[in-house]
Amino acid sequence: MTNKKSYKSTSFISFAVIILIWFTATRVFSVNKVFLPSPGIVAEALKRLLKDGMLLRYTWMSTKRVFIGWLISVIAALPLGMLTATSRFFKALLQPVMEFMRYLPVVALVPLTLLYFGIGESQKYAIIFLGTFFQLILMVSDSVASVDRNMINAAATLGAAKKQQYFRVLLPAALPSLLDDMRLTIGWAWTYLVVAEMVAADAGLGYMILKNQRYLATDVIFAGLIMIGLVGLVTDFAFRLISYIAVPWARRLNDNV
Amino acid sequence: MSELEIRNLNKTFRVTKRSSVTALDNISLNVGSGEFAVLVGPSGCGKSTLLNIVAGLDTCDPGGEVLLDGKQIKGPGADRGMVFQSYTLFPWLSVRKNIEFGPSLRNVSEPERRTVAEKFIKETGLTGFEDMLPGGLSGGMKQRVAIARTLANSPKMLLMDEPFGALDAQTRAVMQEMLSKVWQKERTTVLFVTHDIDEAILMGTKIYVMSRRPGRIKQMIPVNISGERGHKVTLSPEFLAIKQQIMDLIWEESEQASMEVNGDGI
Ligand SMILES: Nc1ncnc2c1ncn2[C@@H]1O[C@H](COP(=O)(O)OP(=O)(O)OP(=O)(O)O)[C@@H](O)[C@H]1O
Ligand SMILES: [Mg+2]
Repeated sequence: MTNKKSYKSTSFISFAVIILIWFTATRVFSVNKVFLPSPGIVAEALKRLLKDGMLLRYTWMSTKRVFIGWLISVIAALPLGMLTATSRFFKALLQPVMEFMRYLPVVALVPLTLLYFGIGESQKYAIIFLGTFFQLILMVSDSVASVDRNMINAAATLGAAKKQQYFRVLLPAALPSLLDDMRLTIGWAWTYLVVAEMVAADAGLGYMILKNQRYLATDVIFAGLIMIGLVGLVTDFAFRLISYIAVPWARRLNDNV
Repeated sequence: MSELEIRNLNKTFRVTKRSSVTALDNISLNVGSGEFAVLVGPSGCGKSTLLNIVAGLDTCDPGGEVLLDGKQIKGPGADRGMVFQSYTLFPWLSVRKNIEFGPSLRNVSEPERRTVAEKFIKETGLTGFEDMLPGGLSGGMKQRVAIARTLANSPKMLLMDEPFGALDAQTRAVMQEMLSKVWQKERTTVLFVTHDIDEAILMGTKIYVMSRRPGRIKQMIPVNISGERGHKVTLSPEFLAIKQQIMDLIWEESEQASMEVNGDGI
């Protein structure tokens, strides 16, 4: 059992070790800096890019795309997932289609989205949506379906109408698990966005990474990767904080923020 | 006060396309207003199935009738409160909010809800636990909340499916006493399922002994024990006589079962 403080310092150690290995690799074994720039050079690049505002602008742009695309997906998947979990009709209607769709690699859909949506923002949303929506419906459906049947029965014998069973029992009971589903899918959304930005974009972190590959500006690529990782870390933290506050009754033994 | 009447109730479960299981066979029984009826019988004889049908969570085969105050029941409703063996509290609501859940569904005003909840918090011995979440409660406490939650809804009758089945012997005894007291006060009509013969005699005003599958009512035994029904009564001659009678009925059942098994050459 580790307490909060030692959890943080232990996590810090793992990052420190990675940086140390990195540093050693570049210094002691003098790896070519085009392949692997040293931590110092990457820090320089980060500083430079932060200063001219480009890095923050791209980060903001990518984050916004991820968030909007993911939000559309969540808004659409929540009710459909709930219906799939609670109605035979909707299950028969949706489940097989979803199972089919979720096996289509999103990358293979990029050409089509370009054709339909061009290279603007809506194409980015479309890619993220296609990457997360079908999966999310199935996850939501699973989360809702695993709510204890007896709890619904208890509500029914207390006089809860169908609608009340949905909103006052099913939804709150499934909420911890739904928040987990959302946290996972926003992570995937990042992956799909970077794919979309690498194929067709004139701004964003994916774009920045691809463009700098042409100039062999490995330090900028690393700066971009670090930024994606950081945003991911912050997002994850935000979600855990939301779970911690919104569903305190579902806190697990090893949960902390 | 309300009366439950069950007439010619059958229940068959479809297992596969071809085969089915008869769980309940021609059940007729009557729980009069303010009575505490207990169902005992071997595991799998259909006690839970019967209770679920009365609760409206399941349906019986066509032809059977379940009447509450002369009216056919249709689906689950607040007039028949149910306490389950498994814990069914809403873990995101405090003890008080759990108890207020039923009234809140019907938009009963906040102060009114409070008053009702407060009353049953007292009666079920939950004072001091009002603001706790169910996750932090012991099994016995959870069932107290479940009972209070059901009573706060002022049901016409109370259905209880082995509510103390998961509790240890001591907690069970305390809970029986608590429920007895509450029932003396409220005089709700109750249909109660248990495995425990002592519990049945201690709580019930009459006991239905069921046969093993397909479940039939084997016999109805009225419980006429004078005076207080505390735990001391379990040693009184009246109590023991009823216990003997029920044991004989159940023993008969299991002997028949073993004879049939032998007859089949197993
Ligand atoms: N959904 C179902 N499908 C098929 N058979 C069922 C179903 N539910 C119950 N049964 C069968 O009906 C019979 C009665 O079950 P029930 O749960 O009512 O028994 P019980 O008397 O409550 O048993 P216990 O004392 O163990 O709780 C059992 O043989 C069971 O296998
Ligand atoms: Mg049962």
